[in-house]
Amino acid sequence: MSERFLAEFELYVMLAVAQLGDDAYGVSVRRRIEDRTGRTVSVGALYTALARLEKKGFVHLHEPDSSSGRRGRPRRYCSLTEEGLGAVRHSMSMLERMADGVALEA
Amino acid sequence: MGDSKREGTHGIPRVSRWLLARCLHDDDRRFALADLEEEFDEAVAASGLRRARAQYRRQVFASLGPALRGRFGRTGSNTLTRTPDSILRAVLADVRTSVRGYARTPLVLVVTVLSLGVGIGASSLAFALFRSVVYPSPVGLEAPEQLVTLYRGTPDGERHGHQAWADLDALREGIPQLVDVAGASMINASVEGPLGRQTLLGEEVTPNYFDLTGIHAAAGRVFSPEEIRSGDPRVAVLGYDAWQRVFGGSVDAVGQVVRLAGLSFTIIGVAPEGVRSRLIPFPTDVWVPVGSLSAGGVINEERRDPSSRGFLTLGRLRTGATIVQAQSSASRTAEALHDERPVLWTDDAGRAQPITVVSEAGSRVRPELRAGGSLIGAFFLLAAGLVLAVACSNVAGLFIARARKRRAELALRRSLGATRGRLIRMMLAEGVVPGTLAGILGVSIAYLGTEAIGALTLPVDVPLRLDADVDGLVLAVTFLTTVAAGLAFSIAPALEGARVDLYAALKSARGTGGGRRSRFRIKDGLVVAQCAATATLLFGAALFFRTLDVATDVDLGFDPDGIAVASRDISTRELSDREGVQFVRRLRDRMASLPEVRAAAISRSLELTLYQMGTSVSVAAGVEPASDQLAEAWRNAVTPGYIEMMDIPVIAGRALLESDDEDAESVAVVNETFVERHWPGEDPLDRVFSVRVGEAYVAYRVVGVVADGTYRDFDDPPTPFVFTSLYQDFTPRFAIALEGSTAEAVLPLLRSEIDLDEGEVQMVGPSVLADQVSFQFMHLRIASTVLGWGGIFGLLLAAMGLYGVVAFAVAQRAREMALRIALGAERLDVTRAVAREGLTLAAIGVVVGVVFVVWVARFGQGILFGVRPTDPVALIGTLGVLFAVTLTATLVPARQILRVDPMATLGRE
Repeated sequence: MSERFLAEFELYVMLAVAQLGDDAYGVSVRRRIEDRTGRTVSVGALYTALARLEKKGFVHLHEPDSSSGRRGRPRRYCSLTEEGLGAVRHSMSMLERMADGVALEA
Repeated sequence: MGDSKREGTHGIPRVSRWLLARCLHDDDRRFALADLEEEFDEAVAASGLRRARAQYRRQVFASLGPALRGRFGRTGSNTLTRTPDSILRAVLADVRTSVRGYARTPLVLVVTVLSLGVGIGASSLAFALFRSVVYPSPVGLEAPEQLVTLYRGTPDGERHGHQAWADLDALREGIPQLVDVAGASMINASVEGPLGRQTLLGEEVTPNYFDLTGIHAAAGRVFSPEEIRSGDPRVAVLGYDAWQRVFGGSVDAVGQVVRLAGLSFTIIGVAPEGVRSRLIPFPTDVWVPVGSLSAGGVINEERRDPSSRGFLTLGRLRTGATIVQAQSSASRTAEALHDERPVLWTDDAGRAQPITVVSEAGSRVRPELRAGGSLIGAFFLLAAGLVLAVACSNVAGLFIARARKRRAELALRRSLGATRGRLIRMMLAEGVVPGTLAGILGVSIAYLGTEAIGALTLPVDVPLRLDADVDGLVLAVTFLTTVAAGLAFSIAPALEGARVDLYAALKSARGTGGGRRSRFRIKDGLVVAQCAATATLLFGAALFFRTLDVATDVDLGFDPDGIAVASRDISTRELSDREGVQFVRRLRDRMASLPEVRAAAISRSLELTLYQMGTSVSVAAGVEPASDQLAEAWRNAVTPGYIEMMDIPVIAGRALLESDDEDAESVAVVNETFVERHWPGEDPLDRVFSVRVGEAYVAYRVVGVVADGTYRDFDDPPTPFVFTSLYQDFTPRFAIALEGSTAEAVLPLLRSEIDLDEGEVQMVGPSVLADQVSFQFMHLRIASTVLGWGGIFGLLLAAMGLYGVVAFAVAQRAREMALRIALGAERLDVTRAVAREGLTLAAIGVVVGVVFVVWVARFGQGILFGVRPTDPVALIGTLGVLFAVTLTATLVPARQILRVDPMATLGRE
C-alpha cells in the first residue's frame, strides 16, 4: 500500500523516463532532471532509485541486444510499466488534491 | 570488469573510479560507470580534461552515499531495522543487538570468554616460546647478513662443532673473504652483587667480539682489542637481564667493581635488552675477555691447547664476498690444519674434520639442535592448538544450544522480513564481542605467561631463562587465531540458527518442539572431537609423567643423596702439581674433620652435570698410538674416597687408595663398558692403556672395574669411563664434595669453610648435587607439566561440553520422556537411555584420541625414555580419569529425568 506512493525524487525519475520514451537511460534521465529542476543528480542516487522502482514494479530495465551506446559502452534503458504509469498518475492527482485551495502565488 | 581498458576512458581519475565501482551494486556497476565515462568524454570535448576530471570526482563523491545505500539497503531487512548507511553501521547494529542479548545471559558470555581466552592465550604462548627457542630473531647485531659462523667438525662426526682458540689465527689468515674472526666460549660464574649472590651464564669472548658483531652498549661501553691489550683485562659487559638481577637495573652499575667467579671485575657497560648467546638459546648474562677468568688474567695453557675446542667462531664477510667463496677458502684452511695436526683434525671415523660456513640466520640455533627443538616445539603448539580447538567446539556447542533456545526469536525476525543471510550475519556478529574480549584475555595470558617463564629459574645453579616476548608477530598470530576461533565457533551455530522452520518454531514458542535426534549432528560431532582432543592431551601428559617416573627411577650408577658440591679454581696460586696435591689433601682432610661431615672428596668434574670432559685413550700401550687406534672415553680425576662416597659399585679389583699418590705408579679404575669395548671376555686387571693429556700420552694400569653409570646425560648410551687419581692427574680446577646426613646440612660449610684467596675462581657455587642432577630431567618435567595442565583444562572443557549436550537432550526430549513415563516406562530405563547416548559419543572420541597419540608417539620414541606408546599404566590411568569424568558429566544432567513430573511437562503444551 505504502508502495503506491512515490518519493519526490522517484517521481522526477518516473516523469523523466516517461518524457524520454525510447531514449531513457542513465545519462539522458539525469540530464533531463538536471535541466528541468536545476538540481544536480548523482549517478549513485539515480541507480539506487531506479533499482528501487524496478523492485516495486514501476519501471522496466532492459539492455538492448546490440549495444547501441557510443563506443560500445553498455547502456541500460528504462521504460514505465503499467503500474508505474498508474503510480505517477496517482501521485500527481494526490499532489493536486493536496495543493487544492492552497494559495501558492504570493 | 573488463570495461576498464576501453578506449576513450583515458584521463578518468582512477582512484575515484575504483572507489565508486566498489560501492555500486553489482547489477548497476557496469552501466553507471559507462554513463560517467560518456559524460566524461563529452566534458573533455567541451571544457577540457582538467574540468572533466573535477566534474567526474564531484560525481563520484556525490554518488558514494546513495550507492552504498542502494547496495546494502537492497538485500532485504528494510522493514524492521532501519536501513544502515554502511557495512560498518550494519555490523555495529548487529553487535549492539548481541550485546543486549549477552546482557540477558551473562553466564554464556563469561564461559565463552574464559574458555576461548585461555585457549588463545595458550596457543600464543606456545607460539612465542616456539619462535624464541627455534627461530630467535637477532638482536643488537650490525648488518647480520654479513655475519657467518665457522663450524668445525667434531670427533664423533657432527658438522657443527666449535673451534680451538689456537686455530682462530689460522682461520683469520686462511679465509681472506672475512674482515675478521671472533670467538665466544660459554662460561658460568657466580657474582656478588648488591642483590646478593647470583650465577651468571655468559661468554668469554675474543676482545674483537663487539667490533665484529656490532653489539653496542645500552649504557656505558663495550671493550675493544686495544683496551684489553694495554689495560686491565678484568672488565665485564653485563647483559640487560643480568643487570636487572644483579643491580636491580640501577644506572650506578657501570663503573662498579664486583666479584665475578671470585675475581675483581669492573663493569664497563650494559648490553641492550634481548641480546642472546649464540651458544645456547638464552640471553647472555655477561661478556668477559678471553683469559680474564684464569689466573693472572692471561690465556692459560689449557686454552692454548689446540685440542681444547670451546669457541663458537663468528666471521664478518667483506663487502661483495659470498658465503660460497668463504666456504672454499675455509675448506682449504681445514686441509692445511689437518696437514699440520693430523690427529686433532681427524674424526673417530678417520675422516678429516671439515669447516662449514653458515649464515648468521642459519646458525642462531645450532643446526643439530634445531630439528629436535622443532619437534618438541611442534608438540607444544599441537597441545595448545588442541586446547583451543576444545574451547572453540565447546563454545560452538553453547552457541548452538543458545540458537535453539532463540528459535522463536529468529523465526519472528524471519517472518518480519529478515533474510537467511541477514540472520547468519547477525549470528556471526554475536561472535564479535566474546571474540574481542577473549582476544584481549588471550594476549594478557600470553604476556603474563612469557613474564612468568622469564622469571622461572631452575632449581639448579644454572640460570637458564627463556626470553619469549609478545611482539608484533605474536600479536598478529594471536589476532588471526582469535578471528579463526571466532568464526569457528559462530559459523556452525549461525548455519544452524538460520535453518529455522518458521511454522514449527513459532507454534512451539518455548522452542522445545520440532527437533529430531538426527538434527543434532553438528553438536554430536563437536563432543566427539572434544573428547578426542582431551584424550590426546591427557594421554600425552600421562606418557610424559611415566617417562619422568621411569627416568627418575633409573639406576644412575651413583647416589647423589646427602651430597653438596662447590667448585674451585686455585690456578692463581701457581702451585706445582706436587704442591697442588698437598693443597688438595689438606683441604680434603680439613673438610672431612668437620663434625657434620661424614665424608669429603675432591674431583675434577661431577657426575651427570654439565661439567664433564672427554679424553682420547688407546689400549695400544707403550708407543704413541696411530690415529686409528684412538678411542674416546670420559675421564675424571678423583681423590680416594670419591667412588665410595658416590656409592659406585666396585665389580673387580679395588677403588683408588691413598697409596696411589704422586710417587706411585699411575693407576686407573675403568667401567664395564670400557672393558667390553677394549678387552671383551678378558681379565682387565693390570692391563695398561694410555690417555692423551694435552698432546702427550700417559700410561695407566687398571686396578679396578666399576659398574657403568650415567655421566653426562641420563639417557646417553653406555660410555667408556676412566677414573684416575687426582694425586697423579692433578688439575687446579676441581670440585669439592661433602656428604652429610642431608645435603642441606653440609651445604653452608662450603660457604663458611672455604676462604677464597684474591684471584681464586669459584665457577659452581655451593649447591646440592641432587639439584644439579635433576637438571637432566628438566625437559621431561616441563613437557609433562605443560601437557598435564593442558589435559586438565581440556578435561574440564570436555566435561562442560558433554554436560551441555546431555542436559540439552534432556530438555529437548522432556515431553517424550514425560509421555513414556506416563505410559509406564521405568524412570531408570529412560535415564539410562539418555546417559548411553552421551557415553557413546565420549567413547568414540576417547578411542580416536588414544589411537592418535599411539600413532604420534611412535615418532617421538626418543623423547619417551624407555616408555612404550602403549604403556599400560599411562593408558589405564588416562582411561580411568576420562571414564570417571564423562560418567559424571553425563549422569548429573540425565538424573533430571528422575525428577520429571509427567503431568506438569505435558500440561505445558
